[in-house]
Amino acid sequence: MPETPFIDFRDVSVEYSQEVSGLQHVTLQIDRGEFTFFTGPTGAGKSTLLKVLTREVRHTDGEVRLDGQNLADFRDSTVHKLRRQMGIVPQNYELLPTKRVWENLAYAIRSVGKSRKEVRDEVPRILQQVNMAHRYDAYPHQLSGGEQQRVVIGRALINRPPLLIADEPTGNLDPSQSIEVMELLSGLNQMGMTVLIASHDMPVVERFAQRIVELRQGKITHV
Amino acid sequence: MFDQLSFLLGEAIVATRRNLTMTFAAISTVAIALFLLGGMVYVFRVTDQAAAAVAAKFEMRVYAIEGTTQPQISALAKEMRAIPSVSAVYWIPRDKAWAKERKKYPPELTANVENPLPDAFKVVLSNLRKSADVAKQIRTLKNVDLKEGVQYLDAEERFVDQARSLLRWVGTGIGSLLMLVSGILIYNAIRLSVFSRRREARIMMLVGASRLTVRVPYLVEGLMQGLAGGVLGAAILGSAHIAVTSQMMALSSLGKPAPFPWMEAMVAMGVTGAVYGMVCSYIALLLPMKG
Repeated sequence: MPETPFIDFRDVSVEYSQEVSGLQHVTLQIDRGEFTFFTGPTGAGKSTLLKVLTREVRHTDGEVRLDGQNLADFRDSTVHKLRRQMGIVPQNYELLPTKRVWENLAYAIRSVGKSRKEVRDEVPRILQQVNMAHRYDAYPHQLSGGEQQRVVIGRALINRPPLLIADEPTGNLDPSQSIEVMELLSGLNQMGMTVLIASHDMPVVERFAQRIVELRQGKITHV
Repeated sequence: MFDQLSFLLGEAIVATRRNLTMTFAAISTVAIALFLLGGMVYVFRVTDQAAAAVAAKFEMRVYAIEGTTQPQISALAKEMRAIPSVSAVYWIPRDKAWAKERKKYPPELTANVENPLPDAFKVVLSNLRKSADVAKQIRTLKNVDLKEGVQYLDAEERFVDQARSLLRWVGTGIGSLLMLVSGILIYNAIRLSVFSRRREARIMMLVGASRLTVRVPYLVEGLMQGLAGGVLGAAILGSAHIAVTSQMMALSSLGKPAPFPWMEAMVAMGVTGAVYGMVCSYIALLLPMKG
């Protein structure tokens, strides 16, 4: 009996309105442990596809499954249970400017209902994992773009998720910082994490990609 | 549990401190709205009590026809007490009424005057609006003088009753309007708070915080603003009461007014503000927190 794919898109469409669609009949399977890039021009549907998985966007047709769970079964009141199974790195850093690096992580950890003790245990572990232990006391504005992105990736790891979703993680970075961030993501993948990245940074994609899914106008054009 | 609550409360306090200007605006507006509303309720209550006291002084006189026997008088009193809107019926014998009346004048003036008063009933009503109906029903009773058997200050009673009704309507109308205005202000304050802290809310949602966890700080913020506004409004109302009553006492020979019910006002206005603040926050969260 074949193994069920970790992520399974079956004929998925997203219609924003009658004229505008985000995805059109997308069918795609991703296995556990894959390192997958979604590429394509702006408006191709890369971010929409990832947002369907994070349930920031609802698919209007088809079926999406994550680890066997149908995403349509999650209601607004239970969607947080889905999001705890994944780490999300949004397009913009979204760090709290008035909090230090460790406070940014602590805030996220406390938000998911963990105690102060868990914060004390988890924050150093995560900072070590993303190589930011030496900057734990800095404010976001005192960090480089690459360092800020590493903090954001660290924040995405607070629930020890099996899946990491990153939307344009190198979008605002120079080439050397981009390589630094991608090496971090690649390292997490080598530890067994499934990593999905939306990017139009082709040099980075070509250097790190194990699998490339190309989208145009909401359709998969190349897998 | 307590650990999580302290985190959420801390978030609400941090947010309140960060949006100090907006928080101040919301609290002061709620305070003013609740001061006006509470003041309206208080003035209404005091005036209504005064009007009720005046109303209680209005009474109906019922005269039995001459020759009515004691058992017939007792039966008549019983029948009148059974009429709806009649709260009390007293029998006033003519001798007793005349003795009371004579005390108002110098003795030499009434010494040789024959008692002109008839035996009568004093009828107190619980609802002034029903005076005419009650009078009509009493006139139909046996042993009541058909022509002049029932006498009362119809026009005056109607005026007092209408004044009370008007006060009630005006109070309810202005109070409702003020509640609506203060609700809109709390709603706007929370909407601005949500807007200013959208990054925190988004982070919470991205890392998998429950909907309740994301919303509780805003609800607590609304509750605190409403509570503070309510208590402040009660304090302003109490101070206004003291200022007004001291002026009134200085200007007139009126007796000492009842003290301001501080505890009652603080609790009532504080709780009203807190509940209302939380409800308005909840409504404000429905739209921007979707998704």
